[in-house]
Amino acid sequence: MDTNPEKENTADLADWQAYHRRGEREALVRLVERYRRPLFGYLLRLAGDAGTAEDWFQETWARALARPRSFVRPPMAPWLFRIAHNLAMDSFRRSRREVPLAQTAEGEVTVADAGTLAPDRLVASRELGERIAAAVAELPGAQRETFSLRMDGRLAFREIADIQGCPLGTVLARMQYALAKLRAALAADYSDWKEMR
Amino acid sequence: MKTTMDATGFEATATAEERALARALEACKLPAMPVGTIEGIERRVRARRMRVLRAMWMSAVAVAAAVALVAGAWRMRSPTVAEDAAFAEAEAEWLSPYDAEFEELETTLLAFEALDFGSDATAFPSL
Repeated sequence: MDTNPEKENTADLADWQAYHRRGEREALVRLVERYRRPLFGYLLRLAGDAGTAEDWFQETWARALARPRSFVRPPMAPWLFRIAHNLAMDSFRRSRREVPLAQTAEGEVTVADAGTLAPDRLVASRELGERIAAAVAELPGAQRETFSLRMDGRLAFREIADIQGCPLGTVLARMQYALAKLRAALAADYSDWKEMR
Repeated sequence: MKTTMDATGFEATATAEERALARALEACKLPAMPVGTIEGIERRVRARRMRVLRAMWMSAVAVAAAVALVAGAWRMRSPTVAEDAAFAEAEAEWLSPYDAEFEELETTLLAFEALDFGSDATAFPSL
């Protein structure tokens, strides 16, 4: 997978135009597959079940593709995640389920003194990923969404603030609370890393 | 995978902890994309476009009905002096071919009126 943002922006725009101007279905397939993991991962963390996440995933793309002029310029990710966010919030409101952004009480958190994980020392195993995912699922809605937009969507905090419609400071605080709770929940993994260090 | 981002995006601002967590989450397996996902998206796009077209069609019908109602009301209102004159002119034009017949009929009626049949209805000549 290409890691150059500029190249990805160019590819997104080229595929978007190829689909809308020339009707190239392969371009749509490339776009959907490129955003499958971040977008579906985000929706899965919000919805909590794969069926709803798949439904939202398809509906997000349908909304995006039905309004081609609303995509003005790359990067595509913030625009796409905003559509997904609005879709999820609408769905939460309709079903009267928990609305993640309505949760404002961040609560007390125990900040583990585990330090930070060094990227070069952490073995990104599937088991560890699943433990992290399980701990993320226990986070309050707003923190979970912030964490997912940051980790799955790889968005800047300012972009997350735009999507969630809240000040930048709130987003930063949510992320800090989320990380602190994860440190507490994954204390064993963090201490393993400390011992390795 | 990395998504698109600008210079102030994740790559430029992520802490080592965030990068490590992101990498660990990437190793976590997500459900594979179902076979019909693209078809599902296309079907939803078509449905949304049909809804838009239907709404546009309904709007057009509503506008046409409103125009017809206004036109009907316009026709049913009291005519103006100018319209009366225009109608009289048109009426005269339509009836002009029958002027000679009208004159003949008028002459005949005047001739009848000139006759005095008295009170004897039986004396009325047959036409």
